[in-house]
Amino acid sequence: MSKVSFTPIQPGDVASITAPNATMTATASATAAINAENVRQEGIDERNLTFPLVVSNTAHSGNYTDVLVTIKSWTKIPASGSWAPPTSGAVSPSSFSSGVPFTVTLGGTFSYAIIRYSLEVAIEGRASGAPSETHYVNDDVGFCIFRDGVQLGHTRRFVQNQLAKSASGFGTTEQSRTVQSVTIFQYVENVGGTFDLRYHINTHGSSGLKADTGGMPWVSGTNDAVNIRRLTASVMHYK
Amino acid sequence: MAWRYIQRDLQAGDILDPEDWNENVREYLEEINGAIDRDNIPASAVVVGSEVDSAVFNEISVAYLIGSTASTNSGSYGSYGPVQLLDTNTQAFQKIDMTSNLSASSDELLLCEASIQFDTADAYNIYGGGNYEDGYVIASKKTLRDWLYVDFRMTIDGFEVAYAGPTTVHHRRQCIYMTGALPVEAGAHVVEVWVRLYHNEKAGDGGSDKVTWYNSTQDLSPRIAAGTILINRRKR
Repeated sequence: MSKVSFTPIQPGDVASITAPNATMTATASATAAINAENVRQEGIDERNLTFPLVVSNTAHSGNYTDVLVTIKSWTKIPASGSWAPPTSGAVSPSSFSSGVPFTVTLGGTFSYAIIRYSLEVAIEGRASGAPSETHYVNDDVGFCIFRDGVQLGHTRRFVQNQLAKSASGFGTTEQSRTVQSVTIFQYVENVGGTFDLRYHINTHGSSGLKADTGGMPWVSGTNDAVNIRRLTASVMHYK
Repeated sequence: MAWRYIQRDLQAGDILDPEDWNENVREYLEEINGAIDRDNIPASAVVVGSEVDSAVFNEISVAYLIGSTASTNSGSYGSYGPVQLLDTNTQAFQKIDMTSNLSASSDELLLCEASIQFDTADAYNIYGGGNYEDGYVIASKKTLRDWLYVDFRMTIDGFEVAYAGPTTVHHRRQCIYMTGALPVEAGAHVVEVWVRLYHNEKAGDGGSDKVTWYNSTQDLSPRIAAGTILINRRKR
């Protein structure tokens, strides 16, 4: 609506008070639709609205750690209950079930969502035995987002152990360790579902994981070869 | 606008100065004309269903790696699709083949993320000879060549908004994540991701070691094995 104006009363205008409405102009426009001229740009925020613009859900592992043991099969990230605390300064994980799942329902309040997983991966072992050892291939670990049990292949990302000391003749007790970070995401538009995070370990021909207990004394057993920590997971729903 | 209150409390029988009346009317006018804010719109005043489309607030744009120089690495646990083999004969930035072209109808804030998988070689092939030994690994010294680097950048309309690296090539497979943002005006925009292979060659290994990036075979060529650009286009 246009701005409302009025004619100020002047001294000596006593007679005009007999028709007070005549002092007002454009009063009709005051009942018109409000437009940008009447609303300060930053004057309204989402708290005034019945629909939210953004809603988030998160999960995290704190600085707990978990050992991944399943090889050659896409497997859900273990639930929070199986993660182990550090020796000191433990930051407890939030509660999450295996796969750190998020269920997304779109079409009503929200039009799309973005799901993100980020974590740290340590590979503290090395492939051993032919043909891997003699051909400089070490364990690698992949991560992927699944929707309703179906692999979203374009989210697959892999890390692989370092190459050094995996060559023949280096000796099987020499350490081969890597720490890397992985961040993967998936946007969801129109079609929702339940999304979770899974991993896959490939030993490249070796029958099993070979934790390097000789070179890395903090690794307590064969199955400690691959572990993860500092997982953060989130889903952001957007209007 | 915040609530306004009349300035003069006029009572019956008062003798009015005209300005008394004017002051009160001005408050009324300022309340009507002023900028409306949360004081004037109570909670739940706008109901679901009457709001504007989501595109007024946000839009999503996505680009995936096309891999124009595709190899055949698309096994069950390998790359999802074609990979992009990189040129090892340049130390300049090479564009990763997943450009996102946008057409913005209004001013926007582009929140961009890129997730990339970089492999120094085909992770699923084995090498029976001394390729790695003579290349990235110095078997005789049980160490790695540490002067080979790779780094990444993300640009919006040519402006660098994110950088990752440099990293060495000690891992055959590694993930790269970048995020950056830039406000843009209405019109055409492009988001691109770049990778650079370079080396800070030293006279190591007795001064005779001049090994650089390997491209003797496809299986040993550095490559982008997967990539995604996700752009959250915030408009409000």
